[in-house]
Amino acid sequence: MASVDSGSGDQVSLNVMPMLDIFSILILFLLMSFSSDPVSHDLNTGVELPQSVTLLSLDEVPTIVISKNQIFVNDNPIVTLKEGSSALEEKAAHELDTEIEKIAESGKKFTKDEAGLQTLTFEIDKTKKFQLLKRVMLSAQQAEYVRFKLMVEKQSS
Amino acid sequence: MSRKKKHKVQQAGGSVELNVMPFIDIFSLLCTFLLFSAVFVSIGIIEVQAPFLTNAAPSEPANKKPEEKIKDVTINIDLAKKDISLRSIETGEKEKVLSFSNDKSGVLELHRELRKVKEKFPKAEKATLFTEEDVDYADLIMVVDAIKFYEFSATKAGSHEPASAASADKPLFPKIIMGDIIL
Repeated sequence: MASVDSGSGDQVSLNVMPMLDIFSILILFLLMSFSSDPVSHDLNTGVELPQSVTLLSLDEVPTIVISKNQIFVNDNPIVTLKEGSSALEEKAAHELDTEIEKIAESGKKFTKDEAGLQTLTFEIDKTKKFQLLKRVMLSAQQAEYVRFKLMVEKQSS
Repeated sequence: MSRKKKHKVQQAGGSVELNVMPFIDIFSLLCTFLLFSAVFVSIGIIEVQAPFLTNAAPSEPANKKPEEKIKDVTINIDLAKKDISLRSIETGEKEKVLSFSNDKSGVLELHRELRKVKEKFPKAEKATLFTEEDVDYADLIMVVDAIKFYEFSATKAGSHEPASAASADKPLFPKIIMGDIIL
């Protein structure tokens, strides 16, 4: 027990046991919630993921991020969406096609799954419309990507 | 406290004190490290695929007589902003169409119908999803969940209920083809 000598000569002691108890509980809780996922990834600030019952964990960092206002390819902002809309202008769509084509060329050896098909991981904000997802997926398909992994928030059981 | 000193204190009949300060130091550091590295949102993935042409051999020989052919089912789901349609075509049968509203109860109904189909055709794995452009991504994921996983319920407001670890592993129609993603 920690103690100090007061001016009057009495020993004033600080009971640290409750603090130890709190620390123990906190550590136990943090260790329980410690992530054992193979990939640790920080979500983009403009992305809110939809919930899903899936048990599959994220196994690679997302290549394409569609946030509320922007589209990122490999962390580079490529397209800015007007007022958070889900529509893409022709020029922006073309830029996106070019970028996806580039990453497909550079990563052809590494992004193939067991069946030899190219896979692309998406991080998409839940408020977006399918219109935008479809356009991006079409660009990816053009670059020979066939399988898509959609990032979701796992529901806690 | 050194051993000699401790021994003297014990011999003298005084109280023995445990110095807990190093414990607190270690705990504080451990807490800080764990708080920094903790991930409070658990991220998962759902796999879907685009339709593609393949030159792989068909699973059944072409010269097989029609009566010998194993009965199979083709599942197509049309997802619109307000409703969902389930079109199932069994081998040699007419197309059966069922409609549901695009809300939590409708998605749950769809899931129940898909489970009935799965019970009839346990080997069926593939479902094709056609989605209209104005459908929200969150709604799409909810429907994909209902198609893909065996245990699913969308009853409570706010979000659908989680499945148990054992049941969520059990697939319903694990191969989901995004029918609209075609060049």
